[in-house]
Amino acid sequence: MNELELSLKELATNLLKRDILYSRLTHTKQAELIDFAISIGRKQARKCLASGLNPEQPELYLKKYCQLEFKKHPPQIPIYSEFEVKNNKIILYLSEIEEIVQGLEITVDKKRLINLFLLHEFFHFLEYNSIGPVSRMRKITVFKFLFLEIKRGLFSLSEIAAHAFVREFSGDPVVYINANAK
Amino acid sequence: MTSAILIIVLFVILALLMLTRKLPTLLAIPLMAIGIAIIAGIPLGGEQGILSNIIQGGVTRLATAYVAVIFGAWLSQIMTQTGISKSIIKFAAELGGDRPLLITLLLAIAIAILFTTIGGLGAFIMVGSIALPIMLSLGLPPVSAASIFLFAFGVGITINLGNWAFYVDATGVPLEVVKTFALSLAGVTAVLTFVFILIEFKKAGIRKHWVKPELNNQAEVRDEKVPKLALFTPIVPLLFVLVFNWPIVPSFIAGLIFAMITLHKSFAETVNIITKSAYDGISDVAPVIVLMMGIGMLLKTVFHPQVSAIMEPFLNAVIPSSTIGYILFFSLLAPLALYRGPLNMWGLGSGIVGLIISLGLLPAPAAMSALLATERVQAIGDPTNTHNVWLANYVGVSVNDILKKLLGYIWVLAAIGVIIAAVLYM
Repeated sequence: MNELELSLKELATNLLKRDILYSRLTHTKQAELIDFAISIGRKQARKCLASGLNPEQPELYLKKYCQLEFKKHPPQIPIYSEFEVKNNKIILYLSEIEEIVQGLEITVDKKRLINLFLLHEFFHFLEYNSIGPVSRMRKITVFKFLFLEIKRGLFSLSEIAAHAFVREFSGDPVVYINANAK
Repeated sequence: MTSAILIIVLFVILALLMLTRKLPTLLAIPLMAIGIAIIAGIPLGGEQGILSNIIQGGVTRLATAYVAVIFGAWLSQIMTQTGISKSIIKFAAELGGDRPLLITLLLAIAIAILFTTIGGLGAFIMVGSIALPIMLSLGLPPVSAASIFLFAFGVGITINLGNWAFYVDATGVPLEVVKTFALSLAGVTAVLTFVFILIEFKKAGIRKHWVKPELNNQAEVRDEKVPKLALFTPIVPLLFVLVFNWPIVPSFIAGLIFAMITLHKSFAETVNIITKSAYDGISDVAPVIVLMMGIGMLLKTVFHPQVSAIMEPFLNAVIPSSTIGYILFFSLLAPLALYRGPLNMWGLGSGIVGLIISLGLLPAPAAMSALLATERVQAIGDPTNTHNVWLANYVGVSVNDILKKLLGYIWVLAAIGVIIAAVLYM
């Protein structure tokens, strides 16, 4: 099923399942981590709205903080978009982004579609420039022997929070990008 | 003199045929063995003749080595089929958690440890298809991820016991010498791997991606539950050779027994795994065994007194005997190990090293070490390696791009190896 068609909880569960540390999580822990990451994303979205981010035209707001690049050629790895921490740069791969709507039987509002990705990557900007990486806010034990205990964060929490951030603005993304649903 | 020129011409023709992929090494080496024998005037019959000495004696010349390779492949299959190799890679990634540099370093260590024991394209694909998506998902460019993988593989393969058996058998150098030099070379390779990873991370920086679902799907990786103790399996044979000075084959058997005990399988399952992995392991290394048979024939040819006598004046003029000459010669020409070239022990190099040793042009440990050092260029960077081709395809880059990325590093690595060899054995 297309990622955009999934509910936030379903998407978060899928993302957590792809995490290298997934097998170490109990069901209770999974639910707790998902709720935690979602709450961070939503909280940041509300803060951004309060500080003047217009989700219909996020470019203007985002350009104050980071560079934006729209690439037409495909990326070297299967991704839709990325955020380069070193250069504070958001890169969108347009050919790949167009792929994500394949199979959705709607007329897509391309500008809104782009917004989803811009906002997603902007959340990562916030992680590295304001709130700190969400992946490191909750850690789990990966190794324990006698007095030695190694705890590590989960990459997926960062992504779950970024998706929650976007959906706080967009609501159901399929409805949001549907040109006929405005 | 005419015979020497004809031998060199044959050598160049076969090298070109291999380079242009008109003739596989598997066939070129035995053809060269017989061709040289004919040019040198070695008779067909008789105890020292082509039939008995070169062909019959040649195919069994490296028997000890290929038996070791078979046992290595057997253990390799056990590690693959029971999930030990997968679990080692996964455990390394888990220990790294959400720290990309740490994950990459730990993955490199895990890959290196695995390849001290496992081998063959099947094992390479199995490890690569787990480790590479993780590396790519960290934001490393594909060519960097592939290069890091090859570097880590290069560390492990330098202390791969099956390979040690080959060097001992092919050059007649004691295992102790191979052990000392290979461990030094692995140390240098590890340091360069570390430097390479740091440089690549510095260049790439931290990147966050909205990835497509197909990248790094760990749900496909986590299947088998392997007891933690079984994860030590790849280092067991190495420990037995290094610490208890056991020969290579019994050390592999010790690894095999250790794996089966620590995996806690039922008796029926244990028997099943042992037999299936034995068959699969042997079929994995069948091409290597056939190649070794050809190399054995070539060694028999170049060690033949008639061939040595013909080649002595030529090689005397070419191979330097001074320490500085030795360092310059092998360091500068190290890339000749690429494309199955004359400094590749698993190709034409075995003939060259055989001649150098048989003529006493260099001490045997110095000749073996020089070729082992230059072979780093081949093992890690050679675009004709099937594992390099698979890797390039998997990450979607050209195999030559990987070589371009690595060549500077592996050339320096070979040169450092030659210098160490000169200090130890010249």
